[in-house]
Amino acid sequence: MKSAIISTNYKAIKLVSKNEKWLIPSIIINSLFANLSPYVNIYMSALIVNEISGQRNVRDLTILVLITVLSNLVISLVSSMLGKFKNRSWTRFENAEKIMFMEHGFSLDYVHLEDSEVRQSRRKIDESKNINNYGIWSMIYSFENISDNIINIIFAIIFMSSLFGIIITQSNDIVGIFLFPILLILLVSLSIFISMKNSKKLSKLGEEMSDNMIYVNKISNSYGGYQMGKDIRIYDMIKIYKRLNDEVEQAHIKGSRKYWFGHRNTLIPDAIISQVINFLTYAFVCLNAVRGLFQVGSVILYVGYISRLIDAFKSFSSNIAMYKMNLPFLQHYLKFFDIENTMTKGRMHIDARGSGNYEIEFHNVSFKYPGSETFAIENLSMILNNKKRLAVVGMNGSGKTTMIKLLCRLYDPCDGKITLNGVDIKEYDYLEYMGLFSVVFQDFKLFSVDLGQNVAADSVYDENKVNKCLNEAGFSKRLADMPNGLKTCLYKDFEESGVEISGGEAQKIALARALYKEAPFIILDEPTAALDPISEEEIYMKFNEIINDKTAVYISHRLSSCRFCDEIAVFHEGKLIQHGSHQELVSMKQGKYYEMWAAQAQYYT
Amino acid sequence: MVKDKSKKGIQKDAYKKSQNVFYVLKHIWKWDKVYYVAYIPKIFISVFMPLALLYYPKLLIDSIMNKSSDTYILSVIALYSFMLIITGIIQLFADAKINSTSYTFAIKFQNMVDIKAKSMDYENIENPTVHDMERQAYSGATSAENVMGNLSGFLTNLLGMFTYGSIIVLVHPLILLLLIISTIVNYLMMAYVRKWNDKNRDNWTHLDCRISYLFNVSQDYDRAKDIRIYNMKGWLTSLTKKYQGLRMNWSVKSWNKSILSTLVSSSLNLFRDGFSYAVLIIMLLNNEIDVGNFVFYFGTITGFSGWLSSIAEQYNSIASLSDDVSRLRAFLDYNDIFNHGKGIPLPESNRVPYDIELKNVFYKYLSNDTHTIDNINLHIKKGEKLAIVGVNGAGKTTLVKLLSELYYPTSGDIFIDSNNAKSYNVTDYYTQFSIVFQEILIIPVTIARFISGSGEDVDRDRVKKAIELADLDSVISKFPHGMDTMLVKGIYDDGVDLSGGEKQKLLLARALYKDAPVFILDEPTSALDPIAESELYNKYKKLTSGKTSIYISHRLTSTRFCDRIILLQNGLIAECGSHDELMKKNGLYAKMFNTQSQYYKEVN
Repeated sequence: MKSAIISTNYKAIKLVSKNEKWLIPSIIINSLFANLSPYVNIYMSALIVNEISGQRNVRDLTILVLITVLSNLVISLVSSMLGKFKNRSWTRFENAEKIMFMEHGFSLDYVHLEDSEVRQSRRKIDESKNINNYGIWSMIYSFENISDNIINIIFAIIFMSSLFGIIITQSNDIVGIFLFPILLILLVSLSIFISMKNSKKLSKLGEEMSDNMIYVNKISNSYGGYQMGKDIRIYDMIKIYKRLNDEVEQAHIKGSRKYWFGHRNTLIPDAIISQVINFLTYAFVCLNAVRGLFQVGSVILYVGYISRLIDAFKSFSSNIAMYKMNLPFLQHYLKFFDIENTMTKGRMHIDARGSGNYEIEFHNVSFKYPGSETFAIENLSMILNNKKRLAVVGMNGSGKTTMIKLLCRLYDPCDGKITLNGVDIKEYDYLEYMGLFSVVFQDFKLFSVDLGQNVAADSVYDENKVNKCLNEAGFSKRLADMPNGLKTCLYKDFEESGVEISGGEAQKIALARALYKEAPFIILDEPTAALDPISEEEIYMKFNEIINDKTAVYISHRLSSCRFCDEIAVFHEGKLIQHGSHQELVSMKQGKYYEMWAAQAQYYT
Repeated sequence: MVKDKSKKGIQKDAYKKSQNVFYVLKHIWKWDKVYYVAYIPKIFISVFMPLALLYYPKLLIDSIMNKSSDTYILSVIALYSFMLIITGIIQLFADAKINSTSYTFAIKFQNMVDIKAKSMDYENIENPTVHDMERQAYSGATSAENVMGNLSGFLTNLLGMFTYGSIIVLVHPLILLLLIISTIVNYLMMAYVRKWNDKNRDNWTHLDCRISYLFNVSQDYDRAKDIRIYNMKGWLTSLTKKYQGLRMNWSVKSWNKSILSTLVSSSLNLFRDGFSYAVLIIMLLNNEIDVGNFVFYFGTITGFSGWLSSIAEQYNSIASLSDDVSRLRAFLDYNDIFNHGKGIPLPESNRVPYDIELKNVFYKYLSNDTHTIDNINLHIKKGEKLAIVGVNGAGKTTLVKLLSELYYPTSGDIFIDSNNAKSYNVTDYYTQFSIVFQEILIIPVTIARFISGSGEDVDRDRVKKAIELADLDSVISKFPHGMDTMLVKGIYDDGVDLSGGEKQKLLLARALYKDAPVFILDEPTSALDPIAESELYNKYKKLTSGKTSIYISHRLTSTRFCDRIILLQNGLIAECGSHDELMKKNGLYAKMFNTQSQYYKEVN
């Protein structure tokens, strides 16, 4: 346990320093100065009290007062500058952490993102952060607190021993010389002992509390948005929601009581023992002062320092508890960044055989989603003919979209292989291979940045080319209405003045994005599910027109889309069950294609 | 932005600070009276313990200077230690009570907001302004838990200021004056920084929004495919870094203001402390006070400035909490216009199909310039099977929402069996409709509870029948807990995720369970494959027998099993009649039908 805490936190600190090397040093330097002021003040007022209870020399007093107020000024100015330095490093790391998550997410193999374990792991990082900043941030906060504690302890000991020196030189009382350090050591060990005991109890309570919070948050986050309002009213679901709300409330009350009452019970013995320690110190210092061993001022000093020392140890225990509580979250956090890509990525360049010919072939390809028992694609063999149009049809869950994901190498087959011009696609440079495909996925997404960037998928773009692609995708009429042309932001996330676009318009922009890429393969996945027949027809016509010399794949469960295609592949339960032209397939009355076709056609005859 | 400010202004006027504090306190009083009891010792301990502790060194110094007996000194120390133990324990108990309870209040207020949002006029909750009010009320609910804590802090500081102030006046009134002046200057300095931040906040909030948007987008799994295929990695990170850099510039400016304010306050403190020391030392040299009092008074002076500056802060935070509570109340008090009161009784038997009539109905969305429903007159006869078709955005779904009274018409009226729909209580009215909406929304409860919409007892036989009718029994019977299986995986360990098509069937089952006299299906087959779709069509007559029913689609296949078809175009009924009539007319309907059917016809 202990070694795990040290090694995990060491790893985390290394991660922090790699991203922002000044954060850890700035925290330490900052806490050095931020904690200095009370010690200087106590020290100086002890000297002043000593002076006024002794010589009462006005000149000395003036100097002492001046030193006190000036040092206060200097310390507060320096620490506010250092505070800025720390805040800056802090913000820099906040920024860097975001970028770290983005880059890690972007560079992970897609297969990991679809893995429910990876998703859960990513979600858990957010959930933990929401509860108590668990994860890397809790580590940094605790680091800051512990560095405060340690600096307080060091200061207390340094400042006390400086006066301890005075005792030795001024007194000849053996008891005073030896008893005090012994007492001090005893007290400190007692504090440490209590600290460690408490930290164990506190960390256990904290773990229970956070488990409870995770549960509560999960329920409350799954309520559905305002659109659910229709269902709630029509189906009088308010009773269900009241029940869920009560459940959340009760779970919270229970968890919260358990934590805070437990917390209280842990701290009661601590409150008593720390006062006993106080009593012993005060008694020792005062009784010795009466005997003339200590000056009056030293009473202020010891009393001030010892109570700070005890406070430091007290909060030390809760900070150590924090480290223990945070350990599993921090381990989890670090583990997420340790996920490694497993896809084989070759270095071969793609040879288009001079004339831009690409022939892709599936050889007995099978694929199972991670964690799934059944094959999403089973023993698939087919050829994508160069510059031909292929329609892929099938029922829901028949493996159409999975085939596309395999084709683009978002996934690798579990079995079998896919070749491009006869070479396994794993041999090619990954980015170069992916560059061959323009895909408009069923659930494509646009961004709230300006229209031009959306089409180009980059912040710098060729305006003429963007305009040309939008025009080809049938967007030019709407573009003319856009207040700032290509610079108009979509939706409202980026700019108040952003424009809302309809589903059909979004589809056209996504199509323009696919065209801008100028890839030899263009793939459309269920692009018309939400469109009315007229808009659907428009898309079909447009599509047919613009793909001219590209290889195209068109996925749909609306069979009307097949009419533009040279070939049709029918998928059923992960298998390619029929393959051929529409005429061929529709004449096979026993086949799946005919069954689907007839189901739709009956209403049009 | 300007609009936003005026909105806040209205809210501030509507509820006074004192009213808001009282509002929160009243609710807490209702929920948990012991919570208040916990604050009484807390306030007294926070004021008088520091004072007693200031007096402590004075007592000790005095007794050392006077060479008091060991017994006296030990009993003083023992007394203090004992006092500290007792107050420490009392405080632990009070804090445990307060900490364990206060977040519960936030949850209770949040639940109030939640229930209000789910029971207010649906039209309101779709309105972006009201939706925004809900979000603000929800975060305002979190602030409500802090009201009592801040109020007690404020009282503590006030009490502390008076006790410490009266001690300082005894020493030297001028010190008090200096303290007050320096605190006011400090406060003004801080206020300047805060004002600067408030004034410039707009400059960075939109940067923050962009950064968090880009971050969320990058973490969205649905976008991962696009990001990879279009290699957006460099683009998205460089955009984020650009905005982070701009944001950092503003942060640095803001920090520099804080440093400036620290410079002023530290210099003032120098004069304050120097002057206080000087006064006290002079008094000491004149033998007006002794060493013990010197220490005590100096401590009191330092303590006083603490109380004074905290008062201003506490007052400010009460003011900002009050704004939050205003937002909470503004939403909870939001006026409904629907008939939530006593309406006329529903027709005797629920089984009788209804006759529905729309007269000159108009509807305009707040954000739109034009009417989405533009003067519709329509008579749906008892038991009629009506189909509504039209292109995207023609107003089909809006019409459903008007019929089911999720919206009130902007003008015109809807009559149910010759009674104006508005004359029924809206909750009663809803009981007369079974609707399958276009959006497929599921919540994490058991399948049986979802279908029955019931919080407690579920009519299991009826649920079973609905599941069979919706063709879901083969799926649900595979689950170990059958209809008691939890929906949504990831919330509950044994929860299940249904596929899109299965979810849509689940919605159908829910509508069938309800078995209301009016049955409306709005694009109910978007997630179904052709076979399942065709099965639903074949069953449609059976499912809707004895009901008035409406089927909405932009696919024209639906028209085959309906008595009458209405084609909506730009919020108007453009065409109306049977399939054959409309085909003869050779209008938009015929055009849409031919477009869709050409593929199927070519072969025949």
